[in-house]
Amino acid sequence: MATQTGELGLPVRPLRARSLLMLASVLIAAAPQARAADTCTEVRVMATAGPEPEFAAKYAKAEFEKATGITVVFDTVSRDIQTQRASAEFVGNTGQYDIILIGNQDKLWVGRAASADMHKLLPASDIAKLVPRIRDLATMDNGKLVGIPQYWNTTMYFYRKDLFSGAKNKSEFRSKYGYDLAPPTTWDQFLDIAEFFNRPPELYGSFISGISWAALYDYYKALFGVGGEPSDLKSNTLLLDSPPSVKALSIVQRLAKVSPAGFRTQSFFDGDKLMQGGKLAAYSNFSYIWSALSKAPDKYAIAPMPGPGGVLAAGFWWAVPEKAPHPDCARKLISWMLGDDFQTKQMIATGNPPATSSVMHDKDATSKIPSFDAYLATADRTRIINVAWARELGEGISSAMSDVVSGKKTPEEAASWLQNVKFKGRKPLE
Amino acid sequence: MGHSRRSPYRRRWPVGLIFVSPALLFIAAFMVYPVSHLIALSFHEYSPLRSADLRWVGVGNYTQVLANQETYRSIWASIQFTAGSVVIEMIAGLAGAICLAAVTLRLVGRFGSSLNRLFAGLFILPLAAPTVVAAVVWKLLLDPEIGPVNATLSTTIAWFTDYPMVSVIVADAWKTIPFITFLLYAAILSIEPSQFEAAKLDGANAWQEFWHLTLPSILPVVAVTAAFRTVDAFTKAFDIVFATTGGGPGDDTMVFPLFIWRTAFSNLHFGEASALAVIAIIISGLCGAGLLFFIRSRPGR
Repeated sequence: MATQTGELGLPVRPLRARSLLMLASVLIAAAPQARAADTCTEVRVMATAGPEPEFAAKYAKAEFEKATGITVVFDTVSRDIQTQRASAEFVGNTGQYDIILIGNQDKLWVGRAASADMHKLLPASDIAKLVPRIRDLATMDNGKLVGIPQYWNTTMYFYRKDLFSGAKNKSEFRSKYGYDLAPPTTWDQFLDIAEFFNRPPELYGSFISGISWAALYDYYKALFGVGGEPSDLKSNTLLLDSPPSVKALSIVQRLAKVSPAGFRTQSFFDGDKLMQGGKLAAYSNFSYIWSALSKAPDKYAIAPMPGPGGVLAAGFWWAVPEKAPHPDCARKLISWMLGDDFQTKQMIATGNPPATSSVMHDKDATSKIPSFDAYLATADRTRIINVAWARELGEGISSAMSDVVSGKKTPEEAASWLQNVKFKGRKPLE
Repeated sequence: MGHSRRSPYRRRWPVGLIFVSPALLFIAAFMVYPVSHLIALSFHEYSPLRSADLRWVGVGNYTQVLANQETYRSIWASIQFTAGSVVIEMIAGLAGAICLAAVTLRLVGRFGSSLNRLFAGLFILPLAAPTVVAAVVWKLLLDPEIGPVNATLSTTIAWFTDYPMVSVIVADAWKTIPFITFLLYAAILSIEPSQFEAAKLDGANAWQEFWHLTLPSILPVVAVTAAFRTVDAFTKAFDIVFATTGGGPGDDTMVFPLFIWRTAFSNLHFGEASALAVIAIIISGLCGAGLLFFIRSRPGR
């Protein structure tokens, strides 16, 4: 069939084909706009069960959604499978979530996986809001900011103010140990006080966790406190049989003797109940418990952990996978989370120090948290676990602690077992 | 018997296959595929904290887990848990079934039926409680400071610390005994009443009735129940241990399923965990088959 041509000599296409071509062009042109319109209507967050994520979810739904019209979806997973679910996003690139709440022990593997550098995602003004020490903890050696802390907390020393201020206790303690009874500034003093007040079954000197997921924190408290680290990242070696590690296990061994019966299958949550029930003279725990204990200011007090070394830091960080479906929404939610309003309300509701310097130094806001100065004195000493497979390391440490506590191994033997048998050949970064 | 009787079946088997194909598809999707995938993964290394890659290692995972003393300790913990649980549950379940039968068979009329339902309801309560709830309850009951068990005995025993395996076995048995009781109760009810009447006429006492009549009649059900419960306890003893001792103190109650879970979801070594899971399937299959064979091959059934 001959092609028809028009006045200009160009082929004349049939009307139907021209219409279809125009329609297709319109649809193709409209599609990017349609996609663009969808990019910032929803932000999906994978959170871990806990009061802080719950507070964030509740407040974000109430305030952020109202202010921006962006729907916030918080999916909560159990702590036991949080790492596995997070790995599906950062390693498996499943692209389901915009923000993943990680613990600081996840820093190294998330930092090496497909996670966004927060320096590139957020404006510099947002990054500058962070408490410097907490920001530095979240930064890799290559400068990548792995996550934005939602808050921070650390382990603190909680003690019975009524017992410490008793004249009889003060006088007996001084004559036995040669120094005044006061919150300890060294781990030797911590142990002296615990042993002094150990009067079972009415009162126990301290509490350590025995159940595996919680026991490792007592090791790290002691390890950091005596100036040790679980690894040296520069040489990429584990330091599990170092003198501070042996010392930490010795401290655990002594604390086990002044802890209540049954601690070996209990966690610090059980310790909280014992403290609130008046069964403990003192113990160390994460700062969340202060919001409950501070309601009885005549009975309980808080102090920084003994040194001279660091203290174990904790808290959730908000990290963004590279394949986040709505990175713009993630950026907006994180910026909102760093605002003074959220940080102040979160601090008052949860008792945790804020992630931002402005709120941390706001006397009006911090006056609502009794003894907030104790946190200020601790911030610069915070440390995190610098091993990429921290949970697996923790299981081994808990096992070693159990052997020390039960007498199966000495602290030296347990430390050597960790370094040369259990984790033989392993490196902090693999 | 002859060729002419078998040929209709030969002609009809494609029709039969069509009818069972939905069930076969279901089994393929939810049983064959996951198990095949598990076996395949057991020959690979996959640890996402190290690398996103799936790497073929042949039997490397198997040699690694079989060289690990923790594997044997967890299998031994599971064997202890299984043996203790099954023995207690079968004995208590059988006793419960006999008592329940003795009482309920005498209850007649509307009042009797109501009492029947009440007893059945009371027996079923532990089974109906979620395992985590049962674990929390037992933790409170056996608490060294505030637990009513210690208060009653005037002791301060830390049960889950000093007797961890016994404590988790008791907690698990409490939950499972009603299931065994009702299975054996149903088996007892299926015995022809005329046999008991005949035994009475012959002058048999209660013990002789039980030993020579009741027990032999329900032995096949006992065997199957024990085999089922053995496999179940070995492969599924997770919830109660996780929520009470967490596998501790140390690894005293680190049963095999919990060890596998920890290897997979806590330590993220999926290849090794898959190898452990395959080993678990083999062990539990052998245990169940062996028990059934032993009981069914005994003379005088």
